[in-house]
Amino acid sequence: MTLRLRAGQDPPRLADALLRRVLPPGKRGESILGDLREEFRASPSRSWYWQQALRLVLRYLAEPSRTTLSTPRRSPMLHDLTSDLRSAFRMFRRNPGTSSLIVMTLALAIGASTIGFAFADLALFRGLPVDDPARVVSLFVSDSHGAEPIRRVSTPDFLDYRDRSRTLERLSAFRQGRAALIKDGQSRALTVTWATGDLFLAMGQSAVQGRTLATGDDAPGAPPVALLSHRYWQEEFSGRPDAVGRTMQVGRDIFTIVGVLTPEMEFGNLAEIDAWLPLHLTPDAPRDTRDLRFIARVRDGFTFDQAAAEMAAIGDALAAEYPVTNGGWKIRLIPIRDMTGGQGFWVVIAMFLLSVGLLMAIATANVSNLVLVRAASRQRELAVRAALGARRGRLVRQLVVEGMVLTIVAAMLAVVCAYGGLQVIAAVSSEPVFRQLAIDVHELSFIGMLTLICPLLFSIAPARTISRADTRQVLAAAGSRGSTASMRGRSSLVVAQVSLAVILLTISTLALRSTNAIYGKPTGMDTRSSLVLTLDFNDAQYVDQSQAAAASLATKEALAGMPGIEHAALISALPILAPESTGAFSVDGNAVPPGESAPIAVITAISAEGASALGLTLLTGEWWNRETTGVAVVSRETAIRYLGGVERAVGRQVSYQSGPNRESARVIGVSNDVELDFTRPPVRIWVSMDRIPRRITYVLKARTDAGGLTADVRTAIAATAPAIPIENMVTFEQGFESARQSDYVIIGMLTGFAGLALLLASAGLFGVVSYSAGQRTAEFGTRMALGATAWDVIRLVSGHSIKLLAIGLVIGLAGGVAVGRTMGSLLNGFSPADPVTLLLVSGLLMTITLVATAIPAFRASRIDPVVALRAE
Amino acid sequence: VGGRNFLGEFEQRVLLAILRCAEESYPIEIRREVMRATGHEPSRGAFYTTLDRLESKGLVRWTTKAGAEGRDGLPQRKFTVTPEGVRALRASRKALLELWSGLDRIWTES
Repeated sequence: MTLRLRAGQDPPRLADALLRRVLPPGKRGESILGDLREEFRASPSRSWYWQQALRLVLRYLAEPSRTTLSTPRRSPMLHDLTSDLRSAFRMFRRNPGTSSLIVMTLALAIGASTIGFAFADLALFRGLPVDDPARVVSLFVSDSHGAEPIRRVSTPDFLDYRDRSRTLERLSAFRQGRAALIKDGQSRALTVTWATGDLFLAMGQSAVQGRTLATGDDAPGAPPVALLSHRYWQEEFSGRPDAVGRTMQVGRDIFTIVGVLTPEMEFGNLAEIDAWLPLHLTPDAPRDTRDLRFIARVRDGFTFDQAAAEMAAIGDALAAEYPVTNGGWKIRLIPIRDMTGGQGFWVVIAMFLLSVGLLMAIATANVSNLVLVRAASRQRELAVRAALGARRGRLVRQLVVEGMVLTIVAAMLAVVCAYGGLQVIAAVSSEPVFRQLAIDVHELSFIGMLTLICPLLFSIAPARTISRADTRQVLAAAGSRGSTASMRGRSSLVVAQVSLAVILLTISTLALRSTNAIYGKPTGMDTRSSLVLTLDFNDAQYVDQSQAAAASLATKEALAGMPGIEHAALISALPILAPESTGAFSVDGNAVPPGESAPIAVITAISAEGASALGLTLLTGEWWNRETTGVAVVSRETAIRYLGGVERAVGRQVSYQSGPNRESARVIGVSNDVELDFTRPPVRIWVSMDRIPRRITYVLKARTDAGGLTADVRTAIAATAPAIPIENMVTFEQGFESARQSDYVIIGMLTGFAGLALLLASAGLFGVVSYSAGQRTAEFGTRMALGATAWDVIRLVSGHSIKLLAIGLVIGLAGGVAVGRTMGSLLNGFSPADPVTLLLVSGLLMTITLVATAIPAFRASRIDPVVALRAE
Repeated sequence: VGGRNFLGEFEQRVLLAILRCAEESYPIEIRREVMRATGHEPSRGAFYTTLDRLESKGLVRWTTKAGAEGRDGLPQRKFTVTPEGVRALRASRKALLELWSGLDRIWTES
């Protein structure tokens, strides 16, 4: 009976198992294991043991001793596998160039694909933080004018849904915004979301500390409570559990912190939320102020379709009951998953998945080509083995095992590449989504899957040539020339690569050009040298609305008085940079025809200096001055669509909803359209800022350089609004830049995929052309001996590559345009058959082909006929 | 014969170490002796495969005995250098000395 050893002194079992596989059988191997044990017992360290074991394993795999091969005592299957592994390692040592090329190709392709997959994974599998995405729903409402559907509902509509729906439960609403946190007499801007108590039950999310908001927290008169996001809790309370029960002052109200939400909630833009506060619903709010987001759960026993039908019916009923505000509006229930990002988002994900697929296909084709070359040079070896009785299946299996070993090495490198790539992306863009990309079990499984599939794919072509090869013929042949069949196989692989790379290149060029076109298009404003910032004159620091208005006006005057500033204006929300509010409006008090919905416009309240500060162009009429109230300027699009044209707009009356009030304004002018889009510009009404809201954005037009003014602006604001924090002070161009950034990250990734694809395809092309030129050395020698010039030879060699290029280019461009058609909204009206794109892609491809051909062609033309013929 | 049994440097070291260990010529001790004399630790993999190679060249032989304490009953090998091995060492030494002769200046200088 041996003494049982303490667990800590036992060497790692896995390492032992590995060693027993690899070490020679019998006493020879056992004694080596014994030596290792003995030394381990002297100083037990598991990491040391692993290190030693791995060294032994690697050595024995790479350099099998003759004695082990002569004593196959293990099962033949296992023995075959180890000997395949050994021969794979031998190949690696003997042929480090090709092997590292294969590994690098695969590592880059798998790494890039993993990044693409991480995107898709975030959207498809991680998704919104809801526990049962199939049952959680949201909705779109759309008007009868065919405008983009909106994802918001009004308070009275929401309350009616809640009362009438039988198929939905936990109907909840929320609204995102900013609020002022008051601490030590200073205020700080918080990103908050006001939500009804049921929201977290609807989403199935829980608290990590304390509780979430609950039903009843949103009832009038309920004690004010706050729920912190996990991130904010970490930042502000360093994750201390005693945060729950403390109070925080937001505006004039004191909120008791009741809990901390799970970190899972921090998906997409939800990651920016600091705190969740109860939303108090006001039943008398206007029905056409649609400002609440909606989430609900399909009740057990009902299907999504039943719920969708019921909600559509409720929508129609409300349209009949409230024709002025709801006439013509339709409700469409959607699964929560469709909420993510909107339509363009899914196109991007589809593009990424497509790129990943194409890239992997190209890489596999490339590796396949390299393996074919190697197989051709090994044909004699393989033929000898076949002649000695090795079955073909056995030889093919050896190829696959070799491929597998190379792929595993590549996969490990790919993890590093992908991780590095994600770091770079997160560093480039501030968008939270990019920081949420991660490499975890999902991505590793994806890499694992590729590792299994790739070797099988890239071994197909070489395996076919092996099993086709006629042993006698190969052995009889003096040289090691590849057969024409394998040459044709390689050429079709190159054509496939070129066409796939052209597809990727076309897609990314289209995306880049269409995006450039949008951002390069004039916005309708002159925003050079303008600085923007937002102040929130909250009700804690300025109890009365009139105090707040006076302070914001005083601030504006102080800023306008600064020497560097030409114009200072107040605006309710900035076009392009900030989410703007829309509202229904009517013209000259005309009722909307029955069954139609009231037209919707972006309504922007702006002070008299606004037109000059934003650099708007007035097409007709005039802009208001400081004394005028109750006037409006409509955009060109508004005038054309709803006021009978630019000429007939002035003097008409528009009425619109502004918060709880119905306002009316006289149109005194028509401005140019302001938008960042290729499609229809939005319907927009600029109205005079007759009441100044507490939260207000300043637009400062500098005389020279806006960026240099920030310090002075801070000083000026500190004097007139001492306790108010300055939010988002940037030049308009900076703001624009960061809005663009996330688009360019995505395009950069598509371009990266395309660039990699192009690199691989041109390497493949180079390989095939130079190989075939090498094979034809004797032929060229003969030709030159018979009087062919160097040029003739160059023509012969490049003729081959041009043929490959032409076929690949035609297939690729056709494929690219076809894919471009499906990109639809992502191209913003840009034609997928854009001639410039097609020319650019073709030009690039031709240049690369030229380079890839020039070297082998030149080399072939320098052949000395005598030497070439002697070799034959 | 001498050509076929030409010894690599590491092979020489291992052979000499086996001889030096005399009665204690177990792989652990042999490896330790190589390490002591040369000042750096040979990789375990290289060491064992060298032993295998020397054996297949017929320069060493081994016998096993039941494992000592701490080996979990795994056997232990004891190596001896065969007369062929001694001959090979002798040939190597002779060749090296021959090459060194007359070059005294070089090794006394540093």
